[in-house]
Amino acid sequence: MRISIFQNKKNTFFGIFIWLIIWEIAYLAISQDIYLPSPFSVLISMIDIIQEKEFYRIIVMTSYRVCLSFFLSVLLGLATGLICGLNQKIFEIFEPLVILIRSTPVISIIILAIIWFKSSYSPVFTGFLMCFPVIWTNMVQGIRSTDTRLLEMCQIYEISFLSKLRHVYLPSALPFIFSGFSTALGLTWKVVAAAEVLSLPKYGIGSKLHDSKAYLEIPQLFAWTTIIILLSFIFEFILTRIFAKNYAYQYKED
Amino acid sequence: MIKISHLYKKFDDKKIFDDFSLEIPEKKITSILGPSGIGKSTLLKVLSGLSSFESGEIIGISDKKISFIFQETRLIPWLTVEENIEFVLKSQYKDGEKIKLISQSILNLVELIPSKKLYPKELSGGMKQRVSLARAFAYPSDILLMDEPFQGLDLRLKESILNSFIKLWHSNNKTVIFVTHDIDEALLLSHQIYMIGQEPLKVIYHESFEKELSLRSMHNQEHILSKQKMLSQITG
Repeated sequence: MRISIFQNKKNTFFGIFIWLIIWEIAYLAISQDIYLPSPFSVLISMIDIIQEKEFYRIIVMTSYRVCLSFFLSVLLGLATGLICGLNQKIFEIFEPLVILIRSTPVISIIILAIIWFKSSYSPVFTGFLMCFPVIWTNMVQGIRSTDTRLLEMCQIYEISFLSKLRHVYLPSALPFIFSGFSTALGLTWKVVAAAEVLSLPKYGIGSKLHDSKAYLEIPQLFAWTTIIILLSFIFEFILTRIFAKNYAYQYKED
Repeated sequence: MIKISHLYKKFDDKKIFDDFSLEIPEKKITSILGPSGIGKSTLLKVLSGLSSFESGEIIGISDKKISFIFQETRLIPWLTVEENIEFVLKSQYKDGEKIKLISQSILNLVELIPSKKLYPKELSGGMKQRVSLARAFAYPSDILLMDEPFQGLDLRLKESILNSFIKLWHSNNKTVIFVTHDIDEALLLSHQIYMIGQEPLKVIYHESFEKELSLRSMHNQEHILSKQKMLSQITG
């Protein structure tokens, strides 16, 4: 189980502080902004970016693409993962496809997506294809991890499939589902931003990363990267809170 | 009457049952007494349909509803005591009020009303086993299979759970097949005892009692005499 960075705030903030000092020292040693800007110039760049008129539109659009591709991966990953976890034959049909998707380089998928979709949606497709195998694999493992002794008990007491699904299979799979969600969400941010760099939608953090590279505005590149990292943490934090609140008993020792 | 005739079953090359036959009367408690690891639990699994067999015949069970008290309690960890009972009732009844009524009255019988909102991990081993008993009796079954449910409990706790069991059985006379390796438990609870031994499984001794089921002491004269008699059968 992944341990959230927010669980040990004090140590984490101290760690971040140490790494910022090391960064500043490295900057002073290199003393060339084009290779490594100082944390202060990145901060100033970030403040400038936030004040830009289009800033909110850019982060809303990228967040929307992340959410959409994550939602599609969740929907299809959970549904097909459930069926494959329950049925070995269907699993064997799906497995080669999932292995194929997992082994395909992201860049190939991005290029294909640019050809197939509009620039605004190719990051969504790429994000979906990258995250689907993660969610699918975790769901299959979760369903398979269900205690067979509980399933035998259900068989004796003639429990319906839907009731078994709701009260036995899904709660058993929950720690795996959460772990899959957490990994997939982090991955979606990286993949969507990468796909935006190549597909260049009108509004997108990836497009801004591309512009920074084109004009060699390195502090801006660092600033946008920091924004992606912060947004990714905020989304993961929300996800962790939702799971911790509703399914706290799952994470306590039995 | 449940009749097991000429049952044959093997695991890999090991014969578990070979021409094994047994008769179990209805609405009585039958104990199957024998050492651990001999195939007693497999017999219950075969009877409940959880496990298959190669040949033979089992009559009088396929059309009946079964409850099962397992060695481990098999309670659903994320459901409360009350929800665990209602979980099995929902497969049989649609009426929510009826389900509530049955679960409350059974929890009352096993004195678990104060703990009904607790999760299994918040209960002691004895309390968990009592919930498992309550679940098996709440379910409208004709036959109850019990696989060493009192194993690992200390004497005082065992006595209290046996007491709960007797109360529950009197409220609903199910046909009970009770597997155990403990002579005291078998003698205290049974209308008839099959003592089994050897591999593959064979009945080596059978005794029926004409007695009313009530909580007796293990130190009572009649109990001690029966126990001596059975022990002498084992040792020859």
